[in-house]
Amino acid sequence: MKMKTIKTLALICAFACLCLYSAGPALGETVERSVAAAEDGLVVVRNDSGRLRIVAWDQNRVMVRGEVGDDTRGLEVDASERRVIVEVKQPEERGKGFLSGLFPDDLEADLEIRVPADSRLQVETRASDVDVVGVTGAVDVSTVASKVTVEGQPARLDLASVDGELSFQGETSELNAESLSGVVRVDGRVSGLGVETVSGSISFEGEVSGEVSSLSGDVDFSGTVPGGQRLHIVAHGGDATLRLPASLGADVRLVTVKGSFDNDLVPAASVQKRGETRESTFDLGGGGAAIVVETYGGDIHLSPLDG
Amino acid sequence: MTHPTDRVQDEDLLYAWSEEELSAEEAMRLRRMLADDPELGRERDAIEELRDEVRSLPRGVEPGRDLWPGLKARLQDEPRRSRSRGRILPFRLPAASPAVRWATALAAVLVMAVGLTLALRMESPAANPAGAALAASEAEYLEARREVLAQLDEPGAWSSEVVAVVNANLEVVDRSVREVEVDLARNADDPHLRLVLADRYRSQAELLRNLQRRSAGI
Repeated sequence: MKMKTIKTLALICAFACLCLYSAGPALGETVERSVAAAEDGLVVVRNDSGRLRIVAWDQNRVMVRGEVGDDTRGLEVDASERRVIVEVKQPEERGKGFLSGLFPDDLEADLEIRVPADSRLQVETRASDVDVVGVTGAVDVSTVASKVTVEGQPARLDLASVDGELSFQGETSELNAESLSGVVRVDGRVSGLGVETVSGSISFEGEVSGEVSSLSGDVDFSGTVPGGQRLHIVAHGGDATLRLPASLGADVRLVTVKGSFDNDLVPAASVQKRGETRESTFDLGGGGAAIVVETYGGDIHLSPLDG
Repeated sequence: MTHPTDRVQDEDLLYAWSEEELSAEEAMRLRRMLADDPELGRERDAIEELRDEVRSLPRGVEPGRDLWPGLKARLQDEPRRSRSRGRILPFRLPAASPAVRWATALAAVLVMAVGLTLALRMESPAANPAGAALAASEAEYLEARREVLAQLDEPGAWSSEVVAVVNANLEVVDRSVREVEVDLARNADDPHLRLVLADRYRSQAELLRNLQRRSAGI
């Protein structure tokens, strides 16, 4: 074979390899496991990156199916009477190869996991996006940089992320969400809301009570607070915007140090100044719930929900 | 022969050691350098000796609360955000003996401590429970902050993106707290500012601790 032909073939092979690589990560191992589980037992899910979709069903089994990356150490499902652990095992060392920068390890897993509806669910992941649907036991998700979405009526919900969006839609008696810079969104009915971020914005709507705080992000609320309940909003450097229905009965207290009030609900509400602090208190519909909004440098906007 | 630039870097390492902020890897490097460089060893001995002498001195000015833990933690953390790692002051002192540099730095810290005390007009914790509570909240926050930074230093524990996010957010916290501190120094009689500051310390300490605890196992 002539040298020119060999060179041409080598170039074609290299080009083909490049095309295959750039088409996306290679398909991993297909997995499917099913184990018996207690109706209200603990289900722990651990995965590094990829995608996890966890859906409640009416069977007392945990079923896992999907794909795990070729460079993982595979899927392990460890079941005991009251606990099931689903874990995509990671290699001891990562990216040590000569071409690791060019060909990163395939460590992702894309899994759908069915769990008994009343399970207590605990998810730990670094960078897997997580969807949880329909679980009615307590749900706890810890991530570093993932997008987490929970829908349904969990008994309680705990979400923590360094830098990922946290969303909940549904109803729960207690929701705690903590993030450094992730956005937090809540839509539904939550009687014990506790949200804390440093720079992430917070957006929530529905019927809620509890405490919400962001240091530099904006806080946006559209909805109502049940009678006798309290909603405390702190937006230190960001703006706080509230849209409240005309039917709401609440005692409202607005406090700011350097921000301004933009009160379209009760434009005539008086403002008192004590030292550097300005405060405005008034009631809506004869009172009932308590709403406290505090900012330091951010502005406070109040407007009718339907306006 | 030791290059002058290397000498400056060695001294930086030594000052980082004196502030107890060396990573395990840096401490090992320093131990090797001390074994090879008698002059550096003498500098270390001088720093140790002076530090012991300063510790034995009576404290002429007793601030209303012990500001040293907070100041020390901030001084320790500051170099992580600048390139002057291990240096006590954010600028380089002219060539002087290690003893003079160390004494100057300590004097600066004492001046800052007294100045801050006067600015905040803190009374003794017994006479001013609000001041004591504020100091406790501040100490709690600084400790949580220090723990997070220590965790960030663990090799391979966090990706560079996450480290950047955490550092950026710590700066947001610092900026917010500093803003309130400055306003409180100007308006020491405003009880709301004091409450705000205590609340920010407390809530941020809790947030950092919770996130650290929850991310530790991931």
